[in-house]
Amino acid sequence: MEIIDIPQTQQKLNKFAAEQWDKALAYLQGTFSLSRSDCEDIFQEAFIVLYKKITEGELTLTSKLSTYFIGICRNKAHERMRGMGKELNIIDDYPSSTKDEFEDERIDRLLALEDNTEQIEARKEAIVREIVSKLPEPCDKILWGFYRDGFSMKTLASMYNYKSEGSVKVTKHRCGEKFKARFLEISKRFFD
Amino acid sequence: MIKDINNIDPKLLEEDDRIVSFLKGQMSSEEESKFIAELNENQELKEKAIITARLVKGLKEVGSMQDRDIIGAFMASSEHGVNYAAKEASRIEEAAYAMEASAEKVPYIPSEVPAASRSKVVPMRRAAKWMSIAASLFFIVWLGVEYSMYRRTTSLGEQYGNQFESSMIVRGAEGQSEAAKKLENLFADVKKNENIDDAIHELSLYWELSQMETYNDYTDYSSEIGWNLAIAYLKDNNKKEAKKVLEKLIATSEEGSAIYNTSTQLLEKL
Repeated sequence: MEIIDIPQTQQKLNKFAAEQWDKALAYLQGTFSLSRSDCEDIFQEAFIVLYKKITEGELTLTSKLSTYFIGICRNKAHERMRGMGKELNIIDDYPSSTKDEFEDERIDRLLALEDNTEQIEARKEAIVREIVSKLPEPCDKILWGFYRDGFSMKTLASMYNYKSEGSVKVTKHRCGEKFKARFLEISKRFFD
Repeated sequence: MIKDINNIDPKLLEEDDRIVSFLKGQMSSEEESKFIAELNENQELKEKAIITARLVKGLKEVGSMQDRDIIGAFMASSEHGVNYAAKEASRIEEAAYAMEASAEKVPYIPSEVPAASRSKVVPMRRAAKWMSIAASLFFIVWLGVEYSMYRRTTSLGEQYGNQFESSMIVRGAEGQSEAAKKLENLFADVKKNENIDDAIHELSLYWELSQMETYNDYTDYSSEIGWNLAIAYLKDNNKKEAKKVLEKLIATSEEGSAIYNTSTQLLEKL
């Protein structure tokens, strides 16, 4: 059988869509108790809205793209619930774009505790970028979800089928330890 | 003995929360002063706080790069391509499903409805089907154009991949450093077009390191790393990144050298 290569742009969109679908489905079902079919409709509509906002120059990205996209799904879900005549008495754990952000100035304050030269710091940052772009499961989901997307432990537990927020917390801790071990292992090769 | 993975000292989890609170600016001034004082006294907490800050910074940087990349993919795509991705992701596989589905969604008109009323709907349905066919054809043509561009880019990777085989990459096995051995394996992967994603990840890191002002294990191999990274990007159909690497390679190579000339030639073809 001949394997047909999919153009790279399409591959990127497919990958992004697949990642967002898992998050969106868990969020929409967990928060709004919508059927899978409703979630599919919302997801597809939201994807087109995102496309139009980008191509029509209306995208004002104050948060991460994935958080922004889940926000569009959230608005679509609200519209749909209203359309169905359902009352919106929902406790929504959706991360806001302004609160719960990690502050750059505080990150730098902690990094300054090591007193590295500019070159050493640049190398360490390159190593971190390399590690975080290849995190293994489930650390990729938990660390990206918590530190980058700003999802709460509760949302992550519901998204990735953990039995409790506590289990996510423990997984996050273990992933943090793994990240540290990997960072030290690679750093050793470069700095010792 | 079964190990309980949830069996963890609650103090450690509490420390995680405190570091996060500090980084988000959610501590009261009193809590913050106490935390800072503890960082100076407790080496373990200090290391943990620093590594967490590194992790957050790295995720932010890589995340922003990925976001820009995805926005670029949206810009370069069509509504049909975007629709296709969304449907694929939610497990509906037919590429042309979107337009077909919209045709199916035209309300069903029972036979007892007078023909005059039906006549307004049926042409719409027919039009939607024609639109569906047209959209599918457009998508096929678009795929064809993309595929042809893909073939052009990857074949350049193949064509230029062996350019420096004998003159630069092979340095002999005797007395090779760990870094050189590692690079040789990566270059071999690029040549054979194997593990190309991993090779790109590794080579981009070494490329970055080799460009640094301070001398390190990779400084001497800068040209080879850059060249192989550019070829790997081409084989992965990533023309944009390949161009970036080639531009940097040209800027940092001696004018008239083999790497300078070949990189310039390849860049022109791109």
